[in-house]
Amino acid sequence: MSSSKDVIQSSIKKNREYMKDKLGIGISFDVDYRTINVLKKDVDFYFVNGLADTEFVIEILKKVVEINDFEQNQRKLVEIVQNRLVNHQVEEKATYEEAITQLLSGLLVVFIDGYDQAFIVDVRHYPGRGPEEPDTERVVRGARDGFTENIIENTGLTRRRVRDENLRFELIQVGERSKTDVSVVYIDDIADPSLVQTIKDKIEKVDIDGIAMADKSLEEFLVRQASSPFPLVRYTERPDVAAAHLFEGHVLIMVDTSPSVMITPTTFFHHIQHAEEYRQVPIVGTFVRWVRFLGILSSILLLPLWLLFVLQPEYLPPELSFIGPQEEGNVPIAIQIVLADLGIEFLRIAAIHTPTAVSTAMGLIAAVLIGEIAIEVGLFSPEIILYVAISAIGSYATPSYELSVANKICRIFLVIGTALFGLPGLVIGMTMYILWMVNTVSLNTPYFWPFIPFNPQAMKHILLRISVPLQRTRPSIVHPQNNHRQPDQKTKK
Amino acid sequence: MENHSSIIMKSIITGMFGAFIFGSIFSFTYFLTFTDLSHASFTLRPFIQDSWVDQFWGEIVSLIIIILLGAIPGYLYYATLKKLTGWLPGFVYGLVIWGIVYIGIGLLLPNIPPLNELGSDTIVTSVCLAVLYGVFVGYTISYDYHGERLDRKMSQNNE
Repeated sequence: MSSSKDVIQSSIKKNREYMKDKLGIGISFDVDYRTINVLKKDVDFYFVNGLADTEFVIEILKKVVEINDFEQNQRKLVEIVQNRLVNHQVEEKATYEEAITQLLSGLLVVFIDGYDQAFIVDVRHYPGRGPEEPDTERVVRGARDGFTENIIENTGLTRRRVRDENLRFELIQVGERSKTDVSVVYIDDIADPSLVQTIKDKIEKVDIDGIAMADKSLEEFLVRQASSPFPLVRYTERPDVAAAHLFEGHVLIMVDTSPSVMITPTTFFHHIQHAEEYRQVPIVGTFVRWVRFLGILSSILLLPLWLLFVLQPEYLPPELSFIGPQEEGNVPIAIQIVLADLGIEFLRIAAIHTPTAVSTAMGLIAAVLIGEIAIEVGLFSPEIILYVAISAIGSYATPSYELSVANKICRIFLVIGTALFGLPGLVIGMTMYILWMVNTVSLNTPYFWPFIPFNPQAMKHILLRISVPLQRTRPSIVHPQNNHRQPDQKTKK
Repeated sequence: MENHSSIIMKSIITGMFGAFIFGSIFSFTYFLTFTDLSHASFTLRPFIQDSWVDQFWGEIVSLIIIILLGAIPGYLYYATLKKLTGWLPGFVYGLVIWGIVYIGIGLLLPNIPPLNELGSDTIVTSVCLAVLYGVFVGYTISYDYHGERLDRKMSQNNE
């Protein structure tokens, strides 16, 4: 048996045996090696077919073959070969394990007969798509690029927007078998150093075979969710949103093979803002923001409140007495609401699993037939459908998908509580909702900041879309080292 | 750590903002007849009997009054409980405030029915709002006092 500290041997025959044994060369068709005879010694080039860029490898082989024509000094073979590995990223490794890890990530591994180290040349080309606008974060006007599954491209997209020399991308490999690249991203003189250290420590402690679901699996290691449905990190697929958060002092976590980037720390109020508000004039942005707040509020409160008014009409002020179904339905109203809510959930799940061509037809069926026929059959009354639909639209207006699902769960509980206990159920339910969020903590950050604990400055920034020239300081919740966004403000104070 | 006078100012402002927010919500629930009493029942109605007091403008004037009065719970929490962490002290503080206002002051004022005659709706609504006010004020002040950081025990809860 070999240990992980096995050192590369000088004899190339021993290397070949070891690699063949470990990698299954001859069994896997895509891992193989090419031998070139240079100045009477063997040089082996190991590669993985799908990950190495053929043109770069051919270029290197060409240059190495030409050694036979131009050079003669056999004793300096190692230096000569190293000089001719034409690539800007070349490293040397001394152990088999490091070399194999690099090989399986797509890099070229070069063994020279008589030399006990291997050269690693970065000739990677990962298959993947180009930057496209993410589905869930569209804006009407603005940049349309999005992160991709390739972590190198993502760093490029970010660096383009933050050309600061203090921007750091620290790389950590996670997972015994997957060895996924995870990068912690922050701006060195703004972000809170203790937060960066906490995150790095947590990532390094992750002990698992592999993180197949990339960012989501890693998130579960970083912030233990327990039984809370609320999202404790924010995801984004837009480089401009990521850059904006870096400027505020957040720490980002990028995971290879996933276009979603994790933003920490995060609060409830981060999940209800969207890049779109910053693409319009401040007043329009504030208007859009308020409409969105109304949508989110109605996705939680509208149905339970309406149910209360239906079950106990004495709470209705006389001006609003039209609310409430006119006729007795066959099914109790509370059950109708729960059924309608579940129905919308079915539709959503079905829509995700259906291919696009079929989903248009399905949408028509759902909207027209099911609604109409359910009413005619007597299962639902029309008002239920109206309010459930408004609620569902409100929940889709939530910028963060994870939060909209959490709110939906809370809404169902509120509906059940109201149906069982009437007004006390609703009021106590809402109080518990708020207290639960106050109790939630995300990586040393209170979740319901800046409402509870209250911070008037930050609250103003949430209620109004402040124009960029007036944004002088960074939000205090990230504990930035450097509080002023605009350098000349420092001297003016 | 910030100096004490600025934290005292912040506590008072927090108390006043909290009174504004939860006072407005309380007025809204009064409009929806979730509760038979509103803060105006404590501030204006015992003293002035005109008809405007029962409607919209009464609520507004009373709201201004309790915003000013809100400075007191803010300062009191700072003076006594600021060193405690978490939201639970605020929760208890809110209950205490409710007790003082509804039972203590309520007994003195002629137009407030005694506790056993207040409907369960009124009690539940007012207790919940008072508790939220208490958590609002308490958690904010203790968070500010600890330099805007949570202590280790609090932050281990979710990790």
